[in-house]
Amino acid sequence: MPRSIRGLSLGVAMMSGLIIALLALATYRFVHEEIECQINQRIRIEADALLAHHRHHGFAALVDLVNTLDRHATPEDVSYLEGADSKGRGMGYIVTDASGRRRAGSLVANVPPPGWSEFVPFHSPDGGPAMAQAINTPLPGGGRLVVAADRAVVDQMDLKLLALFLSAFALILAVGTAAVIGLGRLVRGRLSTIEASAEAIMAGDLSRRMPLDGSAEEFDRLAMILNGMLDRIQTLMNNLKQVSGDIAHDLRTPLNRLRGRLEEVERTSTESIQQERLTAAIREADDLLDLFSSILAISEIEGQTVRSRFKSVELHDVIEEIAEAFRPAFEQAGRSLMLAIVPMAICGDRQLIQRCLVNLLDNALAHTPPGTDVTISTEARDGQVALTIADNGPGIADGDCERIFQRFARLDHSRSTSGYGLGLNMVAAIAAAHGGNVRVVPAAVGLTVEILLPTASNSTSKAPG
Amino acid sequence: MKILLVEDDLESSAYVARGLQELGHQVQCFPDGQQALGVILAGGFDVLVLDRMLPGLDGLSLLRMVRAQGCQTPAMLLTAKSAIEDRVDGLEAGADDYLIKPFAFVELVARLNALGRRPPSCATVTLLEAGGISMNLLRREVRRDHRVIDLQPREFSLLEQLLRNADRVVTRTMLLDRVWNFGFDPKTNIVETHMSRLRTKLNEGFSHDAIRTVRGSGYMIDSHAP
Repeated sequence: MPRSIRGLSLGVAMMSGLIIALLALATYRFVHEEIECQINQRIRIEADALLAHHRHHGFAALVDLVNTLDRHATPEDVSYLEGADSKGRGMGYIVTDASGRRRAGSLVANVPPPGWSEFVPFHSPDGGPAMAQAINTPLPGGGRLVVAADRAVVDQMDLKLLALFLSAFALILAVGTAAVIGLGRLVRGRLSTIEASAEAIMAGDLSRRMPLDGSAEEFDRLAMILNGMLDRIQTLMNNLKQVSGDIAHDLRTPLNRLRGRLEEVERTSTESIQQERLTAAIREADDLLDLFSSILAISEIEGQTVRSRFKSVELHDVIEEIAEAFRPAFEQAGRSLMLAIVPMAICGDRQLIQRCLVNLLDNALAHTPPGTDVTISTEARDGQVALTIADNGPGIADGDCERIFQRFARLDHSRSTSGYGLGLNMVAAIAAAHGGNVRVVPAAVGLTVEILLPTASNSTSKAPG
Repeated sequence: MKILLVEDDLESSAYVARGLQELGHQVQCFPDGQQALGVILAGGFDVLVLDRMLPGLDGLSLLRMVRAQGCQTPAMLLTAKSAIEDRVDGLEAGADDYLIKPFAFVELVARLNALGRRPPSCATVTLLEAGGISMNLLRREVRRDHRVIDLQPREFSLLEQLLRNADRVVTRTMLLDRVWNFGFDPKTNIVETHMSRLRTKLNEGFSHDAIRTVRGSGYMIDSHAP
């Protein structure tokens, strides 16, 4: 298979030429043979008619008839040969007697050998040399009859066919060349616009897109796919910029606090106070390190390599275990934790699922007042597990429903509480790594977070979305 | 204790060594696995502390080679990776414990103490006893001064960890890891709330607190409490 448009076009042109040539050859042979056959047929009919005349009326009558025929020959007589023009006679005759002497017939040629002859040279009535087909049959009672037909018609037909095919060949050659040039121009033109856009993007202009002509044909589809890819890359790049900006911003605050604490230590001379301030400084440093671990853990989860360790996890088991771990803390904080779960297995990583639940419960504890009820429930829904963590606390504003799952998202009223706004982002990352998703479900009171996860049998065949 | 430390970051290795020496331990440091291998096989150490990421021979391969040679010295792996991935292969390679960087120094000390003095046949022990508290692991029964105390399974595990490490500090992360199998630290004070329940049950009717809180590092049971 040729790899370039030029090669492909050349190949197609050569194939077309070859097909035309084969077609021409076949047509030529068929037509040529057919006309020769028709001429033979005509000669045979003529000869039979003349032999019958000789049988009934004798040699002299035959001589008379042939002379008459020669005299009255008109183009109409030879109408079986379409196109035989008036300058040529259709048929010619020679009648010889038993001694071999010519007695009638105006065919200007030597007597051909007995039987069929394909090429008999003769002189046409206007004097030019020509070729004829002829039969030489014996006459009963001595003498021979030669009936000949001009071959000019065969040659004329051959020439016409040759002319026809040559012009067809020339036409195809011209059209093919034009198509090759046109196709090449079209392809090169579209490719060069794509190249130009790609070069601009490589040079740093990430907002550039491949031009579309609205035809929705091949090149447009390619350009649309490329544009989709570029959109995704740009989103990721923006995300990356956003995250690096956020990290820089969010790190400055705790680093400043840490620095402040250390300065305080430096200023202090009382040992007990110094000790206290050092402990506080270490706590600030630990917070910072926690932040880094969370960022790393999230990128690790988003990196999808975690999927290689997935196996069947009994979700209800994990939930019960986590609930058991949290219940004393909930009770001590004046909140209650309830379960409404059904046995269900998912394909995933036990520790990530633990972490996901822990983050959600940490959140519920941190952002609700005492007296709040928190319920964890699961149910089967369209081959998926819907895992819901609902509370009847103050909830969040509708506009924040999307935002709380973003990295470093902290709602204004929660600025005073600890944390860096990574907990729910990790929940979203874990859900995505398991081929599921997380959302806030509108509820009359409180906050209801729903995680949809494929069940164990479903998730193996499904790629994460 | 004689501790061998393999760590390629000289600054952290120096401060860890200094801290351990201040506590009265003997510490020998190596910056890479190749150099450490021969010394470890020569024997004489109570605990090995191996960084997982090392130039040349990494900590995991070093540990595998050491174990393949039949050396059973307790070993702790230090890993800078997040906990998600390599807990299992570290333990499979023959590590007795692992610690995720960054760690608090007290955490390292507590874990090293637990490793260095681990009784050789701790798995076969069926009766644990310390500070007037006894635990029968077969009958899952706990008594304090002969009074039977009814514990929830998780409280039982908590107490078991403390009793197994009597006179040594057990840290929050050790408990999270061993009792709940959490490789991470929740924001919620799970350990504290469970510990406070355990305490209430243990101390009911007694004037002396059975469990001592060691500020800034963890919990411990004194074996010779009154």
